[in-house]
Amino acid sequence: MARVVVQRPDWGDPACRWGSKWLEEVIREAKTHSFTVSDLYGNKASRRNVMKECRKGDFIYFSGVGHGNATTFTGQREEPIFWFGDQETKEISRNKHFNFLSCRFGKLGAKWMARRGRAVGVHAYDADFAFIVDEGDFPDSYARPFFDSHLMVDRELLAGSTHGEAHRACRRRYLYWIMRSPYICRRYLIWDMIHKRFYGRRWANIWSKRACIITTLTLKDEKERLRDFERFRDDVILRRSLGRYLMSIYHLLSIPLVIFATETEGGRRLLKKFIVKPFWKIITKVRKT
Amino acid sequence: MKREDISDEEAIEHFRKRFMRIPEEERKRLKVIVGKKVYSFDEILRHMKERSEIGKIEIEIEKEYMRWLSRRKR
Repeated sequence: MARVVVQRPDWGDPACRWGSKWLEEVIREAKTHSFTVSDLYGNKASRRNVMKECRKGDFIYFSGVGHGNATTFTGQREEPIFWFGDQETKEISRNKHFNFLSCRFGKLGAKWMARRGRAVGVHAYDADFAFIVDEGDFPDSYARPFFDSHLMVDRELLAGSTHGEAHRACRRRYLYWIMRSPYICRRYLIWDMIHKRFYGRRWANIWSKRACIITTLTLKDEKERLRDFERFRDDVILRRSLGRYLMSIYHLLSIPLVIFATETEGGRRLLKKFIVKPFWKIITKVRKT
Repeated sequence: MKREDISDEEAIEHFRKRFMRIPEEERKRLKVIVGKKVYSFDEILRHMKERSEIGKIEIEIEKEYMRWLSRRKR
């Protein structure tokens, strides 16, 4: 089953303490939907552990709390986890989904992960995340509207909604609480709602990956074969770094080929004969060995 | 209402009016957490008047709230 990584640093810092407590709900939600959960709580929320968990083959979704700025998202004791321009962050982002509860990371870091790192979807805030707490009542009712609204993204994505739907549901939840909360909370809820950002593909959900347009075009009547191709791509090719590199070249080359196939007569047939069939032979040979 | 339309003074005055209506006990008890900064709700007005780092953020938050209210009225 697919893996969800939840980062919950907690070293007595108030923001992380509250955030970590509320992110327990993501773990419950993920387990309800039968995901494998890697809970990185407290000292486990280090760069080394996050990278280790995110490099596992079944990892698809990251949800985490931590301090941050425009370029960096941090973990336990503000150790940088993901940052703008980092090669490892870029590698991990590819085809994955992220939800950051962190100040200002949406300004640059999250955008970079979606655009350069090619993450499918990244949710973040482009300003300081503000909330109210009653320290004598942990985790209290005053903090609830803030975290409940934020966690709407996790709930929706884990239930299978698209990123666009999750983003809209989150903003609607903020509005719901804005209408029902006292003035003390309302002004901060409006602030958080306005600064909630999403980067990536709105129509994609947590299971989405980049589709192979050649096989989709040529094998649209052969659903079983198409599924075999997808399985081979996910389970064999994308698990190796050379495979991922070759796939990125293949994705670039496939666009003009598909344009050629759709605009010329018999183009589809040619693609099937010279690209899909040889690949199919390779797949069947690999399977036999 | 445009972004430049609300002055800092207007935002402070808008906040002050609503702030006074909140029971003093509640004001003292509640804490605001903005990133790494933690402060009492009771201190906000002072910070706003001093234009400290917290005050500047709070003014921005109040302006955003005023803009949202004006949009809603329309």
